[in-house]
Amino acid sequence: MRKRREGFREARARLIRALETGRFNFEGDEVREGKNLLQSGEVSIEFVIALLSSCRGTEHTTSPHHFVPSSSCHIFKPVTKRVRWYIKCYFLDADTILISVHIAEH
Amino acid sequence: MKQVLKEHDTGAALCRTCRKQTKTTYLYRDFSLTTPKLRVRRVLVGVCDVCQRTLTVPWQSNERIQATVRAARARTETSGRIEARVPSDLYERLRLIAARLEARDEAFAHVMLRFYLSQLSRSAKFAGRVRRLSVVREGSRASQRVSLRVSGKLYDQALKQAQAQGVTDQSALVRGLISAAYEDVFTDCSPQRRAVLECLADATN
Ligand SMILES: [Zn+2]
Repeated sequence: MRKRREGFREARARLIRALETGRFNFEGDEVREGKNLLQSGEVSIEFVIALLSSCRGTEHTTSPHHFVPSSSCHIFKPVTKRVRWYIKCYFLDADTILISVHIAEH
Repeated sequence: MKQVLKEHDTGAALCRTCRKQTKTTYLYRDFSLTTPKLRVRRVLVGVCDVCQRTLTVPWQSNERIQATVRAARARTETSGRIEARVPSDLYERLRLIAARLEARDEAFAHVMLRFYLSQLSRSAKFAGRVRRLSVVREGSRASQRVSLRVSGKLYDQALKQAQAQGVTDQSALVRGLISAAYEDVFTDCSPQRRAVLECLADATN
């Protein structure tokens, strides 16, 4: 039996809600080119919400955070207009930290 | 409705320095960007309570940062730059003008040259005078660099007028402008312009 993706619906709903309310953070103390297109203003909040809304459970995974491996991140890889996107975030208490929004590398 | 954070609100984040989850406090800090290179003053960011590293940039602060980036990009796209090399005796004249008017050297020189550019863009007669004064004395080497950023509109109008009067390069233009200013300040040929220069000198101090 295929393992149910861990918390897909909850994670997606939580991220969408954070985007809608504006209560979310970008990670780090710099704006790195190409890493987060929402942060650099190249895509809109509405676009990211639409991407997430079209994301399937099979396009969601979790992975250890790169500098605190005991914490896990959610990764959404939805496809729109035949382009796959990569959206990565984590949640802590009431906070949502959005790490990446960019086109997925092949 | 977007929720708005304020100073001293708290949160949590994963800290790269502490290598663990820590509590954060939202504080005002200057935020630096590399492309375009600029510094945004007093941006609300999430700071690690343990090591004081900036861990997060809330959405609302990022909106401010991006607005500043857009404004900076729009400025560079619409502005023109005058780049000139002038002989050092003219450069000294710039200094003398500032000293005579008790102005701060650098800041005043830029404001004054912009004012003279705008005078030139409005008056063919003045542009003709600038051309006469732009002639280089024999044996003077253009050793000093003068660089001036002006609005795109002023840049276009001034260069058009200068060209119509036969001033075709920016170094000649700046030589003429400095010489005209020097005459205005050290002779009585234009009391009105001299009065404006005195005001500009006060304003930049
Ligand atoms: Zn820390």
